[in-house]
Amino acid sequence: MKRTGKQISSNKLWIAVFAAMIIGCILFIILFKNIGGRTAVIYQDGQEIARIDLSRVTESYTVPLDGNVILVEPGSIRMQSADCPDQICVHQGVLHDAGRIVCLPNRVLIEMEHTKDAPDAKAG
Amino acid sequence: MKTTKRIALDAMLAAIALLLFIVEAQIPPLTAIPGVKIGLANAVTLAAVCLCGRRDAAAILFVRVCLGAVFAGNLSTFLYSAAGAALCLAVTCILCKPLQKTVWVLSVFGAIAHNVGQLLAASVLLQSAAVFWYLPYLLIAAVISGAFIGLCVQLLLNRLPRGKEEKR
Repeated sequence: MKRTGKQISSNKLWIAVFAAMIIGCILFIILFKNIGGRTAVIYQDGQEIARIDLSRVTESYTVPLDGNVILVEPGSIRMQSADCPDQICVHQGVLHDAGRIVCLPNRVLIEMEHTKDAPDAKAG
Repeated sequence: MKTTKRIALDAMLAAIALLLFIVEAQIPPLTAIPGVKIGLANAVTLAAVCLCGRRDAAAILFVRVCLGAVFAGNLSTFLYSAAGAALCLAVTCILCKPLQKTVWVLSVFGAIAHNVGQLLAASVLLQSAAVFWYLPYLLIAAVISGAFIGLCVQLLLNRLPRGKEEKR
């Protein structure tokens, strides 16, 4: 193996780079955690299925989808059940005012609508 | 390397990769974040790029992704893993020369590429860019699991007899 001048092989340098990256990601997560609103929007295959203002929900009810069941309760929304083996979306827990739940196998997305850039959420 | 030997070696590596992939699919998800996993099968891809060359590694990866979907997945998991694997392989092949000495760094970049590829596939399938909110979580996971897998491969390569990897 020939070494041509300065080869990128410094472990310490890379550890520093990746550590900085992890810290950056954690900061990003903390900073952008609370962006959201009170309106939950449910998409499947990119199509908007429902738009629910959680603050106006008085009685809990379920939204059955193709493969998933979504439970809407006063002030919160969560995935009640899914037909996929890993159940990641069910374990993602309850949404109150921020965040999102995604089910990759059935292409379902529940998102708390952003107050500012709501139309952009469908881009892509 | 003689053709017969090469075919045998590639087939064996593909079998190992497939086995790791299936075993890993049985492990319950570690976190509630979609796409986070250890990436055991990527160890074989990485070793194959270093030992057998890029073309063979691509063939091994192709076999693993296709058969992996048959044994432990469905069409949508196939699409995610194919997108991730393709980007991961591309990045690994591009960087394998400059990062030859530090396989763990190569592995981290491969893991990052894999997760970005998966997110791209997910954003196409869900027709929403919202999945990119998971990118920071996935980057953290990629650094940790990539470094772990990379160190494993580095140790493995140190123990394998070198000098045999002359391509044909």
